[in-house]
Amino acid sequence: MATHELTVQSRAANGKSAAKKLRREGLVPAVAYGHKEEAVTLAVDARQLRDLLSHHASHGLLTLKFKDGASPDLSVIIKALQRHPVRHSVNAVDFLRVSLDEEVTATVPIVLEGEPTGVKSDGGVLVQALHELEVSALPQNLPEQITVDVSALELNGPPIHIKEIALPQGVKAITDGEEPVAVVNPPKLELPEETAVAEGTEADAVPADHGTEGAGDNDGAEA
Amino acid sequence: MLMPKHTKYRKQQRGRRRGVATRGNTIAFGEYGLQATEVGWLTSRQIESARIAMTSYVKRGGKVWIRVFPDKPVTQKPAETRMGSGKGLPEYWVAVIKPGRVIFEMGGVSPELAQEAMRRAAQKLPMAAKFIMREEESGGGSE
Repeated sequence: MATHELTVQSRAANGKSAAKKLRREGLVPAVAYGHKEEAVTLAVDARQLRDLLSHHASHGLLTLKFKDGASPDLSVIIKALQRHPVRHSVNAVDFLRVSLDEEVTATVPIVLEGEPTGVKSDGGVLVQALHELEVSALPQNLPEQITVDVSALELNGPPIHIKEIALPQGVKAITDGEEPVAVVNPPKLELPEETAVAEGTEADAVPADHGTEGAGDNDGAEA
Repeated sequence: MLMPKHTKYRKQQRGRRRGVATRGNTIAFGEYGLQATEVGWLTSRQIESARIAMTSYVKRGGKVWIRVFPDKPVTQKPAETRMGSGKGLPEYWVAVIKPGRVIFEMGGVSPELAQEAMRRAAQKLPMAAKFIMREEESGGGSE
């Protein structure tokens, strides 16, 4: 797997206002830590980082090159990215120092490939149950993504499990092998609009006025 | 329509609507999402209306997740009532939406279909919202 390079510069100022000033100048505050060494505060060019991330290079090995050439290059992987909730721009980056002969664990995105027979011929719905896989590998062997062929999946058939995925050489899955990755479910037909509205009319009444606990989970699922 | 089964207290104060969504601001279940870019109160009727607009456009296939729950009661005084005599009666339920909040998610359909379905759903909402896709740039690792 190709190693990507990123030019960084050291930064001395810490704190909220210094970070805001950096972002105004088109830089992103970053930090590199790990491998029992002192943490280094850095600044990365926002545009270069955005280009790098758009090429799916966020899950592999990176080489940080210092702009002034004062410090030696660092081999790192991206440990965490903080993004703005609305603009999705990167607010801060955490790099994890790695050694090329020690295994690291990282999360790698799962990409489904092919159209399942259960969708093509039976009109089922392909549901991806797992979007990321935690793997252990040498940093240079970390894949940018794991492709899973789902073309053999059938409607109401057994799902594809992690243990059935063919991983690249030198990559081990940490996530439980019995976890399903993708399955084809039967489609749920939408009720005619009048029926759906009629169902809801009873809830027009005055809200419930007493009881014990509040709303609970706010992640309701509908089909 | 969505509403709590039980509540500890009947009425709530209105509260403030400052800031951005610090939770529920990323896609968690599906591949596509509808993310609010403005602040507002989303009523249970609006949620249901948007859901119907979305699912009826997709027709067969696809899966929809509703990521918000209207757990805040809103009171209203009856029409032509003199001021005073206490707070009005609970009339409907709302979810407080802040910029960045993912309201709906969808999976199992093509991006074009999802985008049009979400556009139709967004027209039923009282605040501006945008279509987003799952980000693959999350990264992460440990020694």
